[in-house]
Amino acid sequence: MKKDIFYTICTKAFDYLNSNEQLTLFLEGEDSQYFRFNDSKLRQSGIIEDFNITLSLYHDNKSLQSMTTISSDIDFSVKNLTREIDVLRASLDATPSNSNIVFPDKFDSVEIDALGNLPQRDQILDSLMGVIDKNVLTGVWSSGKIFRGCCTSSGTKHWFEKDSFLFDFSLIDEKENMVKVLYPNSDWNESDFNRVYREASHQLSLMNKPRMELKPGKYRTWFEPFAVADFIDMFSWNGVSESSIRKGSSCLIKMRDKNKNLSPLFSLDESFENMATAPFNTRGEVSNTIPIISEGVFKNALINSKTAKEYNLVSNYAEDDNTWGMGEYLRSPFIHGGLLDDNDKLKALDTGLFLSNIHYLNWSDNLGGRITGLTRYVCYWVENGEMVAPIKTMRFDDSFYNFFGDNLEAVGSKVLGRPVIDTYDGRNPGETNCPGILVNDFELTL
Amino acid sequence: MSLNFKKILSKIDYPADWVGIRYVEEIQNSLSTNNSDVDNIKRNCSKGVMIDVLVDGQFAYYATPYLDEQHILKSIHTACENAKRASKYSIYKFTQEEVRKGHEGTYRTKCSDSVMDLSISDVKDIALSGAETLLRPKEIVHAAVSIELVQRTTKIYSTSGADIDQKMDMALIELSSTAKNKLDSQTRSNHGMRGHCYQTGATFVKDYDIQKEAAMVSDQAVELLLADQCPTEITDLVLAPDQMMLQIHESIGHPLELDRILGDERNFAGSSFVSLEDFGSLQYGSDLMNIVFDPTIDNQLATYAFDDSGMPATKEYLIKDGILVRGLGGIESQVRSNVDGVSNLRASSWNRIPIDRMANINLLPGSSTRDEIIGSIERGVYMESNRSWSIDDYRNKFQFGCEYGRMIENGELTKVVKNPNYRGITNPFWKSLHMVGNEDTFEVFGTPNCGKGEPNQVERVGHASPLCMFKDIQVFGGV
Repeated sequence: MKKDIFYTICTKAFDYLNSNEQLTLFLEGEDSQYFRFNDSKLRQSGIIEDFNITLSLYHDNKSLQSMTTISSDIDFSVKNLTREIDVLRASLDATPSNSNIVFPDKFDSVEIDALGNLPQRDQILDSLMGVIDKNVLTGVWSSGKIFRGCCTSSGTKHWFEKDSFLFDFSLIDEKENMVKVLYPNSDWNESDFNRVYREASHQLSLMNKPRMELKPGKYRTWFEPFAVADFIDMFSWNGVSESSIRKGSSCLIKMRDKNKNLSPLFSLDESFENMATAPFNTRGEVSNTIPIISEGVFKNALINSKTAKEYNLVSNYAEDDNTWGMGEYLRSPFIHGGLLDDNDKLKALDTGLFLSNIHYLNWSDNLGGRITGLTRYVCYWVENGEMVAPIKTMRFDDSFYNFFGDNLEAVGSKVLGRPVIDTYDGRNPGETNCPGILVNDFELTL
Repeated sequence: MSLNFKKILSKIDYPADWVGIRYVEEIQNSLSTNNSDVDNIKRNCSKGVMIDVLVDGQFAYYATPYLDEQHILKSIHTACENAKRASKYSIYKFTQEEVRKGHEGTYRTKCSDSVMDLSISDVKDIALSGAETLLRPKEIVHAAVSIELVQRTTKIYSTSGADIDQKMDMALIELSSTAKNKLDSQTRSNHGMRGHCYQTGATFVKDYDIQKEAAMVSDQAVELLLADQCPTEITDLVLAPDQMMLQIHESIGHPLELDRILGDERNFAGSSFVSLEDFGSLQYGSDLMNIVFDPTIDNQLATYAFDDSGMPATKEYLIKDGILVRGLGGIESQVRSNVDGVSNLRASSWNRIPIDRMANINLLPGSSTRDEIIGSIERGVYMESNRSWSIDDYRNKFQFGCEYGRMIENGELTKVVKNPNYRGITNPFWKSLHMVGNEDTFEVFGTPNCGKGEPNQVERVGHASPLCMFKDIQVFGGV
């Protein structure tokens, strides 16, 4: 998909409108190569071209939405869009007015062309297999272009195009010890991949010891940045949304309504400064940096324009509901780094748990902030700042009011961007930026 | 659909072992309310083709929404070249004769009228009537109704003669309300998040007693607000069918997927505590446990005649009298593992390839009445409707939470308890299955939200179960 083709498709769709109608068009697209591996052999190989446009048709205080597939062929795409406009138009009479529905304001154009140097599709596999050892790697390679675009009939025009690859893999030894690697970039360099792979292989070799079985209880724990990122993901689900706070289903209600604070070491922003993802939402509204929790104190929820209208607030242009029914979620979270140098983390931990990753999180008590989940990948017991042995999988169940609150002892100085790995609705740009954290009395339960 | 896919297949100029085209068209119409207002009216019309080719024993795919003959022919050629290049690294050399036999047939959801016959006015009136009832108790601060209507058409053609046409109509009706006071808030829904969904027609939606369901949902949300926390103790646990759905899904369905056991999912969804050698011998649970893969039940969400690899689907026992007998693996996993499987190669849409998935995975009824189960318990907890789920990557250590609980004391259901949770380990948990309800306690549910695969896919699955009682389980409440 080319920017000009998208703009042309939009213009032709706007030409189809009646004078009393307004329209927003939001594009999501990818042109991707995928390779899926198991035991360092190829399981699946494929190409996915997927382009869809969400149309929102406005007429007075009524709005209807439709999503349809399109392609780079202008006539094919315009035909699909005008068919959907006809379908929506036919339903307008039966649609009730809603005073909370407002057509978006016009925004200055944002155009981001994050072009890179991706490997040739017909050379990727040979290049990867030249580095991968026998029988240890399971995972998925994805590469190609990711597209986002938004045009409105009032003149907003945005474009985001990114070349990227992500090699998301696990190295697994005979005892089923595992190391997880997320290797994202826009510029392919085989020797750099070789370096990353060798480091992971070395890490896996360190795990080749008998596993310890821990008892349930409270443990001093170091969480690597990607584990922290998994906790932050939970804030997008009944967390930072203004709507969920108003509806009584947010984990942050205690912070907003009861002046409960987290540790002054903890600060969370929604920040688009690194341009890792498109700063515009599906309505074409452009967001700036939003402090959500600053030094442990709740500052702002994410507010989209519908919520703003419903509760008479000012929108900070958060996202509308996605296909999962989740709105006002974090699109580009950033946790501020602290003072603990990465080289000193095991020394600072002294004796306790080192967790590289955590797995399958869910709320066990949403309003109480209690999250349950499991240890996964490089998780080991440390004594006197030295690794002793990997641990068997443990379940935890603890509140972020503890581990981001009074029990948060230190925050790492190194902030790492964990790429978005979720591909349910296609490849996604963006990342969650987090440091590691040192926590006291983290509760393991099973 | 105006393209002639059989004609396209006849024009292929590459010496492939096999080529298949799967066309999928899915129309979704959804309407949701926010308190007393209609909030969103959305439509989704997705169409495209998945081209799958087999060259030198290696599959490769190409998915495109551009329904143009020349583009599809070009895409087939590209996929064939990719498969050829990839074939030197194959994990397994498949043959068309083994895994793409070329069946013909049709399937239609059993219903007298299509969900697509419902107008926005029809759906709006039903939803608003539910919303009005949900909002009656003064403690309710938020109420929502969501109705989703889906029609999915799948057509499969191949060079080995496959000619399959399946059309499914589906409906999901979800009600939820949140009650709040100064100390707490509690949310209740009809059978848990998106658990109330079926293959069905317009009549089901029109006849749905939404006011009765809405009254139950909001009344129980208010009850929960005033309830004590679920106690923390090891006790007898009775699970309603709408929680058994989740228990079956996470601790039976996923661990029995052969692609997990073969290792394909280890980087994402995880592996399994079950090994290939366990089939035919593993005591998975108590001898009251009979689990079937059943794609034949009218109106259950994942009923179909053929899976997306084109294989005919039949009912099979997975666990019989507590013994593991068969895996949840489609034809590709069956030939890789040499373990008996089922026809469950399913894809979320045209843009994903089929992988081993659950379809309808059901626990068959036993012989106990509801009164016998409750009456047998001196002290225990009854739980209904899932709201939280988490299990490890080998499907051993789980923790599940429910919306609604009640104490069982001296053989009777007594006070309501809030934030009921329980945890356990899969194999000992199922061995503690002590009583299984009879047909009268058997209920059918489903979920459209089962995630798996790389790239990720979300799939619709069905689960049905009677009421069940487990002995000596760790239960606990909220903060």
